[in-house]
Amino acid sequence: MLAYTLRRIAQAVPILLLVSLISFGIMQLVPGDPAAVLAGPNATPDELVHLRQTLGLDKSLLTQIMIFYGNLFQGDLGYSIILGEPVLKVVIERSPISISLAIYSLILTIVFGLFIGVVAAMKHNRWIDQVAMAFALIGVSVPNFWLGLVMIVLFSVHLGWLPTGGYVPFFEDPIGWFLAATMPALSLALMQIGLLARLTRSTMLEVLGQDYIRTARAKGASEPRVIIKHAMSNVLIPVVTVLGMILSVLLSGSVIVETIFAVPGIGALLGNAILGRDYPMIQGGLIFVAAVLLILNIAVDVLYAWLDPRVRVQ
Amino acid sequence: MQTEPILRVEGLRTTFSGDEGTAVAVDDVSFDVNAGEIVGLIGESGSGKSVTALAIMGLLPKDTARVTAERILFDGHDLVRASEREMRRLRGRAIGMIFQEPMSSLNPVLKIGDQLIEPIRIHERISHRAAFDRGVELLSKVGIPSPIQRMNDYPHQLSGGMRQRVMIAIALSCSPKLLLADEPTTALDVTIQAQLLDLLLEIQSETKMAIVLITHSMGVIAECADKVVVMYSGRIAEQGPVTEIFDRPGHPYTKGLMQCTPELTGNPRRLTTIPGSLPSLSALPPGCRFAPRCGLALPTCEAGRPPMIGLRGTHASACIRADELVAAAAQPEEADA
Ligand SMILES: Nc1ncnc2c1ncn2[C@@H]1O[C@H](COP(=O)(O)OP(=O)(O)OP(=O)(O)O)[C@@H](O)[C@H]1O
Ligand code: SF4
Ligand SMILES: [Mg+2]
Repeated sequence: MLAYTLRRIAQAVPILLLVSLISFGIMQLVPGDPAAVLAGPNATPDELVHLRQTLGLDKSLLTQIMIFYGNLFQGDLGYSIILGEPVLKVVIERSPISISLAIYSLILTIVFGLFIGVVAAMKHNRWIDQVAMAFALIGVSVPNFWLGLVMIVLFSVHLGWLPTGGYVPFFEDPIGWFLAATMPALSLALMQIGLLARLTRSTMLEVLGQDYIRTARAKGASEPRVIIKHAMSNVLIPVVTVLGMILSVLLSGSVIVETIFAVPGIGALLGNAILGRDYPMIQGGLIFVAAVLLILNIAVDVLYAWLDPRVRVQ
Repeated sequence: MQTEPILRVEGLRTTFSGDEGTAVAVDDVSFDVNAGEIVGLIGESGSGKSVTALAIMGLLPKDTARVTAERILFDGHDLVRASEREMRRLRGRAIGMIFQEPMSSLNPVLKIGDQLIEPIRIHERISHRAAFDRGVELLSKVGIPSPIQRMNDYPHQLSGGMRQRVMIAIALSCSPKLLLADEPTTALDVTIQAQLLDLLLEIQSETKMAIVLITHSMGVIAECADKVVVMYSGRIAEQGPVTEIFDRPGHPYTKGLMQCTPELTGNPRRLTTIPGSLPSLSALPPGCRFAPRCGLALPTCEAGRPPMIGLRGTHASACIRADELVAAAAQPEEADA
């Protein structure tokens, strides 16, 4: 297990290097002079020269790469042009907001996705199954920004139950956090709930047809025991393998959802950085998000190996 | 030996509904199993042996299978009319079952020990510790070396033969009165087959439980069973005491099965196979289902279902020429050139 974990971490290093190289390349790929694009049409030549210097664009490509990585290894992601603050500092300030939102929507996804999928499989081909799968299909088809807007209109504007957005730190006011985060988390999660429910249902149906389930029944096991002890332990293995993908989608979806709900997280930060062509911010934000995703995916792989004795015990 | 049957199956019928309509997999099957007796259930692949056993256990899929019977009496319970709750109390405790597929019948993510002591934990009020000790004892009884370590293993760490031994231990864990053994050795290689059959016989002579032993092989029947039920295409072709049927087979299909078995003919050159194959469930012949493959078929065989003809004692055959066959078998056989 330990060796496996270390190996997975070692495999992540080249991926991270590649991602950072790509994010470095973004600046190079901007057509024309990035400084000119950044500074806008009314910039004076002096301003352009100054901007090139701060961005390091006046040096050779190789020197730029060396400086970029030199800074990166020291934890220096550069200065945000819009905010005028170190990128790392901003990212560290904003990330708990996005991570708590992602965890909340992940919990919603797992709880509802598994529950709906299991119930649908147990009531296979009955009306509950059909209703559940219709719901899952709607969940998969509805874009998250549309769902977010509809929820704001319904729950905030008409019913006045929930705030239209914003963010309250969890440890200062858990209830306020919960009220503010529920709609963003739901609009992020709905599609994933639909996907997970469908995956859970089909996996559960397959598992329920296996010989070892018949063996469990032949022992006199009750239906809850068959489902929870014998079937779920096998269903969870493929489900865990998609958790990494679900997390990636939840984090990348946060760019739009955080903007709609005015949540000041990494997603909104990146969204604004893209609109404002804040290249250091985009670069730093991308590297940070990639690092978080890699860590989470490693965690998911290790969890998978731990759940399946055929991988864990050789 | 007691003569009161522990299991009495009367008029068992099982149908499966699918996309192409309804298929009758088991049609009017009746037989008795006395306490302490080994009954062999034989027939080629697809003849309905597993379906019969699963119907008795109430383990066929509820959404596609329909099981009816006049009665399936087991130890005072009518299994066709029993509630699911009543069935759950019998399964794993009074009736044990071993399946055809040792490789896939154990849960891949649970420890052998957990799976082994599960019936004990379900049916008896006993501590985990005590159940574990009984598990270790069961594993050594079925011939698994270093049983304490094996309790903590996972199925993929064991060979097919070892897994089937574990399945036997699971089936025996609550000392059932009846064991349904569905081809417990077919999937394993020959030496292991013989070892496992010996193990089953040894345990049976100790516990005196009744066994329904499902098999493809007349050799296994000859070695193990007291009574034999021959199934063909969902129906019983012939049944009776093993010695009686081996001496005087009353059905051409049984004769054919015996001639397919080198251990019985003693002469590998005379080994024959029965030409043709089982009829499809969607196109069953109207009369005797064996007629398309039967060398003795008469026009009347196709007219209607041949009735069960009672022969000597409990011996009975569903062939209109049963009496002739038995009489011919009584004559000393003419030597072949
Ligand atoms: N769940 C099911 N759904 C539909 N048909 C089934 C099902 N189970 C069995 N059958 C059909 O019932 C018939 C009898 O099958 P069964 O498994 O009892 O044969 P068997 O005698 O045990 O054969 P084998 O020696 O290969 O195990 C076959 O035609 C099979 O296709
Ligand atoms: S009834 Fe006729 S076809 Fe059927 S086994 Fe007897 S002789 Fe053959
Ligand atoms: Mg079978």
